[in-house]
Amino acid sequence: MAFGPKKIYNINMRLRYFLPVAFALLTATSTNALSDDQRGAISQHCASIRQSLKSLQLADDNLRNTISPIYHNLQTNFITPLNLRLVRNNIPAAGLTEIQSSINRERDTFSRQFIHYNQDMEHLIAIDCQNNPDDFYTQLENARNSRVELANTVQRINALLSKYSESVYNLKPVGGRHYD
Amino acid sequence: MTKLSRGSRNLILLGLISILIALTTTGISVAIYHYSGDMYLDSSRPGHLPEKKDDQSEDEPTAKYTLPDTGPVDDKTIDDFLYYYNEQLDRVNAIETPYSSTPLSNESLGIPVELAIPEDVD
Repeated sequence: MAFGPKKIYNINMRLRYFLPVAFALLTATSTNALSDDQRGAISQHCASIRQSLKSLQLADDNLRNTISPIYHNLQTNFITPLNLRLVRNNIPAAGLTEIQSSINRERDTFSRQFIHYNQDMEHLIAIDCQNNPDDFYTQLENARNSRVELANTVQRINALLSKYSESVYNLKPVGGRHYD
Repeated sequence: MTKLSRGSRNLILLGLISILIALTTTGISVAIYHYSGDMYLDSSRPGHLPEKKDDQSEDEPTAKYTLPDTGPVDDKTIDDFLYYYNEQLDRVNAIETPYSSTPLSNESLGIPVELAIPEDVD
């Protein structure tokens, strides 16, 4: 047999020591290097930083509890029924349907990104910033990136909702033309 | 010491196995709930309940408005639709810079901002 149990065991043992070292080297070169002042500030103010992060997590959740029901209400009680009504009245509204699909997609993206962002924040808060400021800062950068993506998605959803409003306004009969 | 009958032993065993199965399935459910991230979308968690609004009056007209998916599409329909739709939209747009980067910035967290010093500076 080319790879007997003993050989496999030896390879496994070597990988056990090699992989963590390789990972440490890779992460060390990819993190933003902290200055001594920054490292000291993180270690010294670890408790207050952690408390700020927990408060921020709560505020972010409250914000989601504010905007998500509005998105849901707009989609369920406004956009969907109006698009159906337009179809039943044989009024061409391909643009509105496309906006509706885009809003659906972006809302799903928002949910996924919100989960990912919260997981990053949980991981960040769990790190012992007093003794591991470098790891903490690396994870802070990850959380920042997740937050930026989340902000961009919310902006896109709001832009689509505004675009829908404008498109509906443009449906208004012009010159006495009626759709009924 | 009285010996348990075979039936009693089986009943106790059944009870213990049932408890074990219940604990296992509960543990799996909680693990899935946590690792899938659904817990972050759950607003019913303690401390994460939506804030109750004291003044419900401004929401009542919008809450009562529903657009049936049948009926004509005329000026009045569109005007009513846009009135209530934009009322809701304004609530979303009133939130300034949602999920802005400021709260996680170095300044907000009390981490000194270090400026990069060029290598050729004397």
